[in-house]
Amino acid sequence: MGHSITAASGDVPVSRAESGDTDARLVQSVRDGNIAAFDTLVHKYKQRIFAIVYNMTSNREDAADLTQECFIKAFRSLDRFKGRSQFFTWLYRIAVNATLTHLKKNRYRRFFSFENLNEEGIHPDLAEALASKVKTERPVMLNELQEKLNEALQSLSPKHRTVVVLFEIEGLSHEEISDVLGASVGTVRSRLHYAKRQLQASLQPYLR
Amino acid sequence: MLDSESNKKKPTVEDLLRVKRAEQPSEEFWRRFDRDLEKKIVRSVVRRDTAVSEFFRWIYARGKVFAAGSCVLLGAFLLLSKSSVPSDSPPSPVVSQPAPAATEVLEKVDTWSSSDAPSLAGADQNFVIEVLSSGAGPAAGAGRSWMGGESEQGSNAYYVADQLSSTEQGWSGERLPF
Repeated sequence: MGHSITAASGDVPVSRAESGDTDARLVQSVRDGNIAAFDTLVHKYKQRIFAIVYNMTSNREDAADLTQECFIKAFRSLDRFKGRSQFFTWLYRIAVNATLTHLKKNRYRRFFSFENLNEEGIHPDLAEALASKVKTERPVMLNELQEKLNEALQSLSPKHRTVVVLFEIEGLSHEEISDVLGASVGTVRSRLHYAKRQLQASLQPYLR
Repeated sequence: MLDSESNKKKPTVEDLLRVKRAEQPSEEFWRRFDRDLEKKIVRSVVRRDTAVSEFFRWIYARGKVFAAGSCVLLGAFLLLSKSSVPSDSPPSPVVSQPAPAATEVLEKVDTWSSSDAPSLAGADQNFVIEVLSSGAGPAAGAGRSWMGGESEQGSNAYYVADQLSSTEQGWSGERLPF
């Protein structure tokens, strides 16, 4: 898994350590009363937080609300951030907890909405498979694939889904996920293994 | 559905899941998101200020209640502590003393029985006794009409009254109405 993240500009990949130092400076700046520094943090993490929440809920509107809620919570409790973990871990924890609470509250509500798929981000093998299709057929197939993926993810329990999203989609390491969830690395590995088996069963027609 | 002929091109679970990374909201979505978030943060800051002031207002309001409650409790405690004094305890000594003014009057009355008291002779003394025992007093208002005549009894009555009032200079200082 990649251990670099994309900076706010979206162009320059920076290491976790560098990013952590920058975050710490920004956090201190916000604590000193510089609200604009929080804007920088929002700008830097909003897409990643949104992606986590969106992939956990499969609903764009809920994801937008929960992402905003996550940043507001972070802003209000920034004084309580001790710096023992990295800022992004702390922020992810807020987002994951808010989302899990939301999912618990809305257990029986199933309403999915999809984001537009940027075909540039699709894996080469899949892109190649898609390339064999005529242009009119491709969007239909992509929508179908998105739907199946969402269904497969939603068939997992929230805990298993969270691990899959953080590891496979967000590219966090087992240790980072363990830090975010407050679970042991062994638990994270075990959940991931179980979740992948479940997904393989659900997505069999699309797999090798 | 993917083409069955391109089975060897079919991706893994990981590949499929990475498709999710490619799902991105539009620029317009992020513009709206930023606008909403800014509003919500400002609102939360204002609400936090309000919440702090609300808290102090709550404390203040409760403070008044606590103060009132404390007064009630203190009063109840004092009442209970008073009533909880054992009944078989020796009664506190009561010293009865006449008030100073009453003492003066009593002394004057006492002087009547002494040798300085005005002496009424014979018939006058009997008349006074009659008047007093007849129940017709100044309060009844009948005394004056009854004693208002030019009779000898009337003059005697005034005499007695004068005598009485002369002995009570320090009492009321007024002439008795009969």
